[in-house]
Amino acid sequence: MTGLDIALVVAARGDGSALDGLLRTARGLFAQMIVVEDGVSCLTGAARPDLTLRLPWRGGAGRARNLGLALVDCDYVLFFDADDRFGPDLPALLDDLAGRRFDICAFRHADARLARRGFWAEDVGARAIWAEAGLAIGALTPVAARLRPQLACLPAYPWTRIYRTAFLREKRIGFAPTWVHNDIPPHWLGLLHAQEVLASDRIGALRQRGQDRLSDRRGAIRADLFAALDPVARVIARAAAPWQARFAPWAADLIHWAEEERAASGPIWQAEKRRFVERHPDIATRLVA
Amino acid sequence: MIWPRDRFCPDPLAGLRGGTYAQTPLIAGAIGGSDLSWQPDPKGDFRAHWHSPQGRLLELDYACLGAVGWLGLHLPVPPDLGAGRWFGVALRHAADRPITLRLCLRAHLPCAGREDVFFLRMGMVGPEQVDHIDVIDPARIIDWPAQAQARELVLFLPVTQDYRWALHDLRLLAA
Repeated sequence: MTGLDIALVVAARGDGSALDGLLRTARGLFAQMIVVEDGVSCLTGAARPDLTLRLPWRGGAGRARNLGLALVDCDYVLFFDADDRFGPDLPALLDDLAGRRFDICAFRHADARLARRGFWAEDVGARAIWAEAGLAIGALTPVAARLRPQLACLPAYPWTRIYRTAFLREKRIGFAPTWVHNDIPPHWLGLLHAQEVLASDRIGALRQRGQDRLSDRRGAIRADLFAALDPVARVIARAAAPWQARFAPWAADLIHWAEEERAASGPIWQAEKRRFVERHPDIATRLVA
Repeated sequence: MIWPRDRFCPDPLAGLRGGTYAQTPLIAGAIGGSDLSWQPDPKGDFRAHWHSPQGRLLELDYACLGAVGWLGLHLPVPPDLGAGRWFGVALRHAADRPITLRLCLRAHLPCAGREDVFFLRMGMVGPEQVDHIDVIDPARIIDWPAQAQARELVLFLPVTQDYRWALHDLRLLAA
């Protein structure tokens, strides 16, 4: 067991063999392993988590993660997807963090869909953000408050953050109860409210080429984006100027991405988008007509 | 290609690879009980700290305050390595901004002098980890110092700019 008292929460909704593989590699790293099955049975019995729950119907990863968070007994928590894998540096990262007090630790990941010089890599945008913030190297680096809005411009993947459990509970930070984009609130509100943020260049997660990934869902389901963005946009609107300056283009880029890359369209999408931009004109000005 | 394990047992960098060392001011001398050592310009005006995270050799924070002549990271190698067909070095590193390293094989000669044979490739690195590999073929070096009392690998780090540098691994190769 590593020196960090940390729980693993996995929201699962299908691929049992991938989940078993993940849980096998989690042994010895986590003090508590919680699997929340999203409406369907996932575990094959080959690996046994400490706690397994099943939502009575499919409610999305956000609801599953929130339920898992409520049951965490450890000081820290890592949310992970069943179809991803721990990075080679995760054990060393957890050892680095032992004895440190922090609210969030952000770490690097590698993506099987991207290759650079024959190796997995992060996407170009994420690499640029790490470099711009001066956090591209260093096994463990405290993140100054002025750099946190920059760090928030990274993709909102929950599996590249370790959170202090009590911090999330005290600040009432949870995942959006949506099918997709549920990770936006903990990502932005976590970094906004955190007192102690650490960054690590260690690769703690490997994103696999999965089938039926939520991030690959296309079409009207993407209208969830606005339900996830709206509560965050309301809070950021009252935050300091650097947060607003970073959030507006980030949100606009995400809306564009959903339309261009995930075919978000149709009457529901258009209606939700119209309501959202009426409420948040600062983001609306960033959207190309 | 062989790893000269017989010549490097115990691993001269094992202490740094396996252990952790807290933030330490950079001064001339051995690094964390390993054979690695810093040799900075004693008159240089700089501020630097290093530490060794788990699984990595070291991370360096360097700030240039004035004139600095050099900053070297030294690793002794067996003197008979020069008798081989070639000698190589492989290192994995990263820096928070683009920097350039020069690497050389330094021979300490019986006449008390020394001679540096530089690797041809410069170690250019930025925010992304890179693997730097280079070899020296003594047969192609004019005036190769075949007779040496001692040899060491020297990494000359930049001294005129501020930077953070992480040395993830360093291996020597010979054949």
